[in-house]
Amino acid sequence: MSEKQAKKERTRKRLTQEEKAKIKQVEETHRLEARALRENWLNLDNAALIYPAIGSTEWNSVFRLSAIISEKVNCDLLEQALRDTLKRYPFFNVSLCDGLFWHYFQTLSTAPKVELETNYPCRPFTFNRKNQIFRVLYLDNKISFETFHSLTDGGGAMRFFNTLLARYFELTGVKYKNLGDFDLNVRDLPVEEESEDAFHRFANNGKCKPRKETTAYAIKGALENPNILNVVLGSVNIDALKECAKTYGATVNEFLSAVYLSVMIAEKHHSNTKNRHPVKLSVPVSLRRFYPTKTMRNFSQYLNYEVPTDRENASFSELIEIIKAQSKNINIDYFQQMFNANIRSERNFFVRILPLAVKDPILKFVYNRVGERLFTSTLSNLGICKLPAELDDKILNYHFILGATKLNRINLTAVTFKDKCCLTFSTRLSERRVIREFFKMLTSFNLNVEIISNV
Amino acid sequence: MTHHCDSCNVEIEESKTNCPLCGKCVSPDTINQNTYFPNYTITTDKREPTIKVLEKLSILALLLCFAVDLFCTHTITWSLYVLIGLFLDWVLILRPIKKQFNFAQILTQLSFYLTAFLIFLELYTNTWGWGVMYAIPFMLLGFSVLAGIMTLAHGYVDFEMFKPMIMIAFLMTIALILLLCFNCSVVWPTLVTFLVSISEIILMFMFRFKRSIRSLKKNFGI
Repeated sequence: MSEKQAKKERTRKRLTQEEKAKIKQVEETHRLEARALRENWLNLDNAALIYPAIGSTEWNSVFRLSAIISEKVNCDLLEQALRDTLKRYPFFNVSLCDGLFWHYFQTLSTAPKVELETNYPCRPFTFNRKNQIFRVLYLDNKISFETFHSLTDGGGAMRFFNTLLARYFELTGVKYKNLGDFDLNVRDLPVEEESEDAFHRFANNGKCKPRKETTAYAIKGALENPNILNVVLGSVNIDALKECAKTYGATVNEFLSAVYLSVMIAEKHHSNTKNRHPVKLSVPVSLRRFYPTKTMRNFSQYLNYEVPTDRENASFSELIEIIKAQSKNINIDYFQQMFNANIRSERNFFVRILPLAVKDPILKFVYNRVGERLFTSTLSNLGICKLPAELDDKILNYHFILGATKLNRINLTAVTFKDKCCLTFSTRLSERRVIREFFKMLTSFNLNVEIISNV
Repeated sequence: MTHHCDSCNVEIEESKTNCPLCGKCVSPDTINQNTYFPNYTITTDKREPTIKVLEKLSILALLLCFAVDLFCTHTITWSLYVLIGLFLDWVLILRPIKKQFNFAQILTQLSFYLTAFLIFLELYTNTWGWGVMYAIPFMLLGFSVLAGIMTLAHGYVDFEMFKPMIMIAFLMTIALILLLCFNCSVVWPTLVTFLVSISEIILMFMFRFKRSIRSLKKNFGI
């Protein structure tokens, strides 16, 4: 017996029966806790099921929220804030694993480290049992939160990110008066409803929306290296933008959609393409305002604005009228029918019985055939970001970046904070004609645009 | 403090020397220090260029083989062996490296493509029997045992290893049906492999009982 072992043996003998029992109890508790965590797993919500199937090592569906703050980021405090935030929202601390029939989320016991931003935004995630499917990054005075779309949508990510920021500033010494009003307190207990699959909760046996839709025109052009994502952010005063939209009797979203659609129509004509498909814009809509749920997982659907090929020469006012006419048909029943169809597909016996190894390639094939081909680009508007007054001078601006999508080479997002609306283009195209024309058109409405870019 | 681009009529952040939209110079004196994005260093996978070169070399070798075969024998008989060999090389070696496949994925692919290859070999050389009766079942038995060992080593953490198991069981079911239909004399290797793979799947289910039940509940409402 070595000296080390002998020493260990002597120590063990010295322990009283009571101490031994205590150690055993602690060990048992740890073992049970570890087992509980291992056993704890979550199903993916209905909308999240598609993303792992269509992704690859070079590309998967990722988006980013960033906040520009007034001081340099303290990474230790940010890490502490992240740990606290994950206690508030434990269902974010998961990895994505392959199941027998579907992918699933496996609960993790440790929080990830915050990382210094060195790469292009929205890098793809590598899925394994040990890694979270989100990352928190920092750079000088910028904090970013990137997440895989299966975990949450823009609304859920915004709430998580705001809680993280609120906690970070609390750790730096900010005292809040009414943090509870904004639902951003890390001391609140996790609520089961926040991690529910709201699609399943609200789906019914009613009508389903037919999936048949026309294929859309796709913007073509030379692509950058797959690792590169070009980002161009334009800040516009929200009051001026509202005023501008008001002159056409439209909402900000409708106005921006009309501008973007008219730019894409011009691009279609400019490229002299023989493509006869119409230009279509996909606009995601959060369903949280239609249904009583606190879920932070995916709960959004989309609506496609379409400009028929015979109306492509319409004036800007007419374009707004086309969009407004299409918006009028959109109501709760429209979305209900949309996700009823998705839920029905998920519950289909033949879909359920297929092993994941067979299901994934089929989903990928179907998505490549019909998924992104139904729209030319996306305009995702997160709306107004509200934070406690104590953070008004701490946070200067918000950015929202959509990662590259598989077929559509260019996407637009919008987020409003204080008096600034930040419009962000993310693209893998090396040519930036569409972006230039979009901002030029905004400036033609006497809007002052301030550009930031990683190009 | 911002620069103004007269061409696009937009304000450009201070750190930029050129307009990001049109590329025109807005201020030649500015120090190019972006405060919102880092100075990127693109890290590319070092294996990728090697794989690309190997892929191109394979195509070149194949074309050369076809040319020589056509020139010498006026057929493409032996070039087909090269074509299949190179296809297997791409599917089973280059692609898994490129796509960073895990062990379960590699095993699933190996099971499927090597079985297909052996069947092709049997048919092409007109020596039907040895592959289906012996080579394929024994090869898949080996893979099945390997998958079982890996599952044990991982502590049955997830269902990853189900993929190759199901693939093996599926292939063996088809082989069994074919062998019984054609009244083949040697069925036992196929039967053994089938039973081993099925029992491994059942054992996996048993050891991950709670998870299996939840999975079944979600999928079939049991």
